[in-house]
Amino acid sequence: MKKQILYWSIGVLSVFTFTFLIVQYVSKPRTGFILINDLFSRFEYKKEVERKFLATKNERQQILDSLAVQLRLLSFEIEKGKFKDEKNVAIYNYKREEFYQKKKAFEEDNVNLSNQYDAEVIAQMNQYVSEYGRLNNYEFIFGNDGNGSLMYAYDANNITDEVSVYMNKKYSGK
Amino acid sequence: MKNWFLYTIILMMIGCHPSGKEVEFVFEVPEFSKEKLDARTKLVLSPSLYLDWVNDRGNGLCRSKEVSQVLYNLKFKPFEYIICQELGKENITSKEFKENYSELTGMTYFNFQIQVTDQSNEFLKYAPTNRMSYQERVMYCSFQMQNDIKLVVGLDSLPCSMYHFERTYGITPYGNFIIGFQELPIAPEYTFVFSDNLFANGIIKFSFKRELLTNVPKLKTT
Repeated sequence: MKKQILYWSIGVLSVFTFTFLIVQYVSKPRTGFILINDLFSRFEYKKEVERKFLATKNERQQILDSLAVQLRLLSFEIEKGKFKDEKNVAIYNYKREEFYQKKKAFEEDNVNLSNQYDAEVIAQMNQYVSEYGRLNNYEFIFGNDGNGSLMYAYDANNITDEVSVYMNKKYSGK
Repeated sequence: MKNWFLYTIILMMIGCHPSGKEVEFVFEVPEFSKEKLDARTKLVLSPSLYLDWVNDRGNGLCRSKEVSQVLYNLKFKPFEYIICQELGKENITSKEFKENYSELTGMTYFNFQIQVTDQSNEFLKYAPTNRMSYQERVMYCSFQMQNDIKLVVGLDSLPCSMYHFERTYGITPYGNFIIGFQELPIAPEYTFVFSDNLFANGIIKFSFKRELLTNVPKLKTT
């Protein structure tokens, strides 16, 4: 009888210990890291806005190129002496001023647009990374951008691929 | 004996589950097998159940996305759902149903909601950037936002052809937008795209498989 109780006690204790260890292992909070630049460049939204930005930038550049050609032609004609009158010089000066003003405005607009797109991409990226973390029971997800904030991490904790897939899926609305 | 072990293990698992960690809600889109989608069309629901069915997130017609404390909710509205809402009664005759149904055909309807998660004020009062004044935001929602909404179908995109902003003057913390597109051409997938120029959160997308929108229950009529 005593032996039976002992065996039972050992059995129950083993089951408890085993279950406890399994649960501890499964529910252990995880940490991981992402390569920020890599993640950023693999984000579909970033690629989309990059295309949009380039299209806008090229259109603006075309307007500037066209103005520059007009200016060059006018300058060439004035230098040749054909139309070296005050009216043409005034037109030339007016167009040159217009060119420089447009160039400055376009440069500023390009910087603003680029910043706006970057902010939009980063806002969505942050959101999806934190959602991924919450869903997968991560306690910390570190961002490695090569500036020394993360000096060493074990490669197996690199979750850039998984986060990238999740992020692109979420962005596409699926 | 076997049961005893099973109960012990279950008890242990419940007991050992880490507590105190609050997992916030993350909006996941449910997956549907072909059988599940087919089974949906065999359902016949009463008006009140129909409304509940559409509003049930698990049925895939309601989608949500949160970006920078702004919550975007999109709901696809089958004709039956709109009829239930408009008539507002539990017994709908087949004559009433047919009359209303014919009025709705030719369009696809959605309900779009924008809400700021950490404030109970009118959503238009939330200003993360100073790009727009309150009045400009009201104007944008009333008139210009329509141009920032489209439905991508394959390589084409359908413009938003019906748009109405329901302004509640602070009664609700969200803004409600009734959206309509022309009848959808046949395609495997439809993507609702909103370029958020209100809170500068960029492009917000919601994707729906065709079967999800077409395989909906029938409405019980008398």
